[in-house]
Amino acid sequence: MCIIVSIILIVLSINNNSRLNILKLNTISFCKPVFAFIGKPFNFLNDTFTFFSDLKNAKLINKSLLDENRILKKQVNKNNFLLLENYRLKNLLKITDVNYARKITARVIIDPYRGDSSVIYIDVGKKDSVKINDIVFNEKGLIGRVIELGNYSSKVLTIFNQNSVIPVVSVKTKKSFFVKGNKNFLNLKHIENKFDLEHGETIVTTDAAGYFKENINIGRVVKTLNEVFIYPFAKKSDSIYVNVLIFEFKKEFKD
Amino acid sequence: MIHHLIFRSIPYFFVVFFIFLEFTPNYFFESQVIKPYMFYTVLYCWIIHDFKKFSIVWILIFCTFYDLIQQEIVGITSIFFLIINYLQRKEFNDLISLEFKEAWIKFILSLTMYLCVFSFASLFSVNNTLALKTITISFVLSVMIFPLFFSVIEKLSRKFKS
Repeated sequence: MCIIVSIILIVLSINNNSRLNILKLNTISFCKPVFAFIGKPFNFLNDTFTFFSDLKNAKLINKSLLDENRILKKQVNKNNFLLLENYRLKNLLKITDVNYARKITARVIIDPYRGDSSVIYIDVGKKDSVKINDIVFNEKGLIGRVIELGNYSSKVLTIFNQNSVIPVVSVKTKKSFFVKGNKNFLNLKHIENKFDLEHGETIVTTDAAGYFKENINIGRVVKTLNEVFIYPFAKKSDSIYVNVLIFEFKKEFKD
Repeated sequence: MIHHLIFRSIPYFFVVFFIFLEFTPNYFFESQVIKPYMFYTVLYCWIIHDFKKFSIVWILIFCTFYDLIQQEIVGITSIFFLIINYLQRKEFNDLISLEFKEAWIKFILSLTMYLCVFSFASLFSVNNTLALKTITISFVLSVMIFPLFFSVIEKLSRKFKS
């Protein structure tokens, strides 16, 4: 009897049964507190090691941060001027601000790294207004997009997955093209003369496909003698916390 | 009464704990921590020490839960453990004690077979590629920690003998 049940489950899995997929997501949502609890000691250990590692290089980090601060202060002054100018122009054209996106923080519940499908599961879902194709990122850059939704959890396809194709633009050379996942880096797609890209220049998202917010950092161009590829800034193992950008959530649009 | 219930449920919690431990995302210095197949090792050790502890329904529940969390093909793990449980019942003899080396070799063979079946099934239905390096590291770690689990569960199975 148990063997028959197992065989039925295998058949349903292979046929990608939607009820089984919902059951998978619900199981993860249900187990979320246990995962968080069991992961706590290890996270504490990791944070402690990172803290001591940073402490060792504190002098160097402090020096580079002071330099960075000096540059940022100049940029803030420039930005303030642009903000004021922007505000005046908006008033002149009578344009009102609409908050069409908001950012929520989520926790990675499961990272099935053995499957090599480059997907992660996060603890936000339909109940948090998350929708299919909402983008997931961390402080370094884009991680991926939501591809499956449960009530309290979602499946995220990372940019490293071979099925992930993202419209991008290069910041310096202003070339528009697509990047496709390839394990640890990204391949270039639909681009003529890819060697025209500059080595080390930043690649950001565009809203060309309709579901990506523009100007989110993806990675930098790496040029070798016979190949050009993108090395992403963010990776899923940067942190167990990620951000989700939610577009056009009902409450804001009703207002 | 409650004390007795808690005492009897400890082995169940023990197995479930390792399912969670195996899948909790742990990153160390921004790198993925590769873990052994802890659930497989623990349940295997328990079955070879005391196959009566978990009924086949419980094995089905544990393995289905494991597969649901693993987000791959559901049902393969339960078939494997149901077969292992059946073989253990068939071979069981009260007079012959369990030899560690034999158990270790059998474990390596069964895990290899499980990983081959699981990886190929996954390759042809869920994923396009295989994380061969990660699977190999997990496999080696599982083989290495087997003696530890074997001795711990030997003691536990004696304490919680069914």
